[in-house]
Amino acid sequence: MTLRHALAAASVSALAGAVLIALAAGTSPHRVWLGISGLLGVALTFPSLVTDPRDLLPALVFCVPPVIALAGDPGTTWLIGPLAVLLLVGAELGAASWEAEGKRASRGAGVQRTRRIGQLAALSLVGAVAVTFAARLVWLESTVAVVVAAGALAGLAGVTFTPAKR
Amino acid sequence: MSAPAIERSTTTTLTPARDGRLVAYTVVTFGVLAAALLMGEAALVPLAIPFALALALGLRRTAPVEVTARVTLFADQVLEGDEVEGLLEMSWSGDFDAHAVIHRLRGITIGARTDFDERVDAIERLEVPFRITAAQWGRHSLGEIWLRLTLPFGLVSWTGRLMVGPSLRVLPGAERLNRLLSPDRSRTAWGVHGSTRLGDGHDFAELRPYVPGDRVRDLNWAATGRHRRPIVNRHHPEVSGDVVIALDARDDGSELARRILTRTARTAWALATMHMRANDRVGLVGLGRSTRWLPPAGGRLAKYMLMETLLGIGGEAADGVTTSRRQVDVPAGALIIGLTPLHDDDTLLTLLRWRARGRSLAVIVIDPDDATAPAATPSERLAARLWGLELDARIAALRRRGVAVVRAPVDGSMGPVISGLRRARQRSGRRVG
Amino acid sequence: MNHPHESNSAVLVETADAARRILAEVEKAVVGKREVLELVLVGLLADGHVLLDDVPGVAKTLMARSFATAAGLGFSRVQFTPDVLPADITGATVLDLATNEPVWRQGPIFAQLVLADEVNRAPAKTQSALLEAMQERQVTADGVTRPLPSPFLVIATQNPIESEGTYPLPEAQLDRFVLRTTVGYPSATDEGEILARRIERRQDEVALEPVVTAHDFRRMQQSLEDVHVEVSLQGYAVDLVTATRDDGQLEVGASPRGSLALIKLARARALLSGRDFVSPDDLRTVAVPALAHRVVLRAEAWARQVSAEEVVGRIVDTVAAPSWS
Repeated sequence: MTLRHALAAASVSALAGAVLIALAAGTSPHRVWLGISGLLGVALTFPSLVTDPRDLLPALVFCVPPVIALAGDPGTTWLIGPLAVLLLVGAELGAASWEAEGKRASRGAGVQRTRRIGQLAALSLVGAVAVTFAARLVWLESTVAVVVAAGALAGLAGVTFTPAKR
Repeated sequence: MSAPAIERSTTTTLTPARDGRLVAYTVVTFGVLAAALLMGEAALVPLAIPFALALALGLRRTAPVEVTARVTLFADQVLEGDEVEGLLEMSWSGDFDAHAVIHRLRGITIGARTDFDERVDAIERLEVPFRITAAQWGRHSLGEIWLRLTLPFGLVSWTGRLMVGPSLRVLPGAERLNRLLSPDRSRTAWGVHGSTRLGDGHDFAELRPYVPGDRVRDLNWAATGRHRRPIVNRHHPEVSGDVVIALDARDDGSELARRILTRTARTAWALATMHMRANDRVGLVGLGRSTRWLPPAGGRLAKYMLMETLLGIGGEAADGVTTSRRQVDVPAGALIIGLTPLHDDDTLLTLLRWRARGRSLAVIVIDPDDATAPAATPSERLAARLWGLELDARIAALRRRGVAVVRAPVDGSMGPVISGLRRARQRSGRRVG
Repeated sequence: MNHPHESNSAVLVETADAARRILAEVEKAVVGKREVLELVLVGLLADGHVLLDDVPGVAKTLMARSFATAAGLGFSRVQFTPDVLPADITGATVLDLATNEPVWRQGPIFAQLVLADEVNRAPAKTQSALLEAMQERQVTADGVTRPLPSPFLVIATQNPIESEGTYPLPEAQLDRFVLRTTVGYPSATDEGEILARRIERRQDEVALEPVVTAHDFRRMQQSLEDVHVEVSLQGYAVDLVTATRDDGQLEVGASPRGSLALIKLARARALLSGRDFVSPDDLRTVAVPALAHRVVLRAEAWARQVSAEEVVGRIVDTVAAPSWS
């Protein structure tokens, strides 16, 4: 198994794992549809890993709904942050598998890339858990949540649309 | 190996392009936050946090990156099978992960491969020594040099072609050289050669009384003293003269160019050998270069000179650079034999210019069409017909100006070429070698 | 027994001093080419002919003329062109119209220092006439042999082989030159100095004074015989020349003339350095100019753009010199 194949398998596993955990933990009455969405998301990971242009959007869009559904049950909302990190790790591993394409891709470069994904995951996990607990510990009106979300949205929009287009 | 090094350098600005994750992360982040906004559900915000963080980290630098690159080959001419060392140097501002590639190599290999792929992490300057092997004779460009820069955690990349590497002249090995230049059929013309140059030579012929118009330097003073009247020396005309073979063939890597190159080389060598045997001084001129005289003994050195001249012509073409050709001058009085497929307007103009200056000129058309696959589609057939008409027009233009033109037969035999040239020259009242 | 040795030493010191003065005088005209000038003087002191291989316009003619003036030698210049005949070089018997008697009119070769400019522009027969005269130091015409003046030295120049209308000198004839070297363009600083000197002297011509007479120069050449060459160094010279015959990149190695030239030039160089003995360094320094033009590269080496100078240089680096303290 080449490095590329290993990273691609890890990517699919991470996304599938996130979907399965969300489905297993969730109590939504629409679990069938959520299951179909998750399955579709995992299935779409395969073409995104091998075809050009490489785009993880379809895979992520269909993997996210089962995780969103966890918000309906206060007992499972704490899982949203860690599962989001797992989704991100899946996407990052997929991108790493793109980079590992080519005969000269070294194992060292793959290890370095995986270490960076680990750092990003750790940072994200801390951020997500911090926000989760902040939402639990501090009394937040839904209106305040809206304002926070809107502010973050505006801030990110400013950053995101700065780069040149392809 | 101490042959001259060749290098090429360039500065290129690479613009950023988005990664396949950027849109996905943006949509997930905005979508989740928008859902949180619409549903008033703060618990959804942690779902957006990892993707938002990845976006913030990944987009911290998005400005274009200026890259300075230089590639050096420590030889510009080698033999088939030789190895040449090279060095690729690139620098930019900022710590990037770099991925450099040299690809589309023709006729040369890097190790056992025909491309080159080097990846390094987080550096500002990349120096990669490499070693290439000249696998096949011809003029080969090192190939396109591409660079991809990414930032650690970055969601954009900077990718671009920096340059086409310098080209390398690869001369055939001794065995292949002999096979390439000495087909048996080219021997048919030996021994049927006449002088190309009229005029006084160094060989004494006879004495005769001075007549007005004789040069004073030709006075034979001893005879003049004995006879008490001016007597001049007469000389045999030189039995040999100058023949310049003008070569026009470029190795741009295509099958057609290679065929023209091979046929030009064979025809040129057959002509050169024939003239050298007749004690002519044979020069080679690649269009765009100065005349090079072959050693009178011929031999392998002369063959290598021919191949070097031939492969030297297409330097610009091999490197993908277009430059205007320098006007080539050849010695006055030399017979010029142009070997050309007549593809190029410049070539035609050069030949006509020589003719207009009164140079003795013959042209052998190396027409590769008879050796190419027949046109398959109607448009190919039309193109072939149009080119045929154009070629006829070019040949007619040369003939109108008194230039002897023959087509080189596909089998490489020189007999028909020589007899054709001789007939054509006789029609125009001149002699040919 | 000490007396002759001391006397020889005094002559050598005197010769070295005169040689340095000649160099200094030539340097008034030729700026920034000390190494080449030394090499050319070494060649002339060794009673050999010098071949300068370079593009036009790098002061080759000026150099030859300056050496002739400084060394008090009679000078003549022959510009070789494709229509120069052997008789134009050596001379011919002409009819004296006053007496109606044939008289010998000598050609420009009858000079002590002859500049044969662009020697490779003349056809082979004309080149042969010059090169035979160089070898024999006499001219035979109409059955009469006429000796050339003494000393008889030729500085020949040739354009790069690929220039238009050139007739490359055959290898056998190159052997007649004791050394071959290039001149090269001056550095930017030296070129500035050339301009400054021209502006200062207010005319094109550089006025040089003879430093020695032709007779003195001949004596300087003869004094080379007193420069000692140790037996081990004679062996080293032979080893260098033999190595050229065994080298895989060379088709033809240097002839015995090569080893003779090596020793002559090494002696002259030692003299110029104020020594009465040859050192291994003298041989190493003169090896490339003395031998590179006497060897013939294999076609494959030529195709790889290896030069004879590089091959000889490598041989000099690899052949072990005798230990010397």
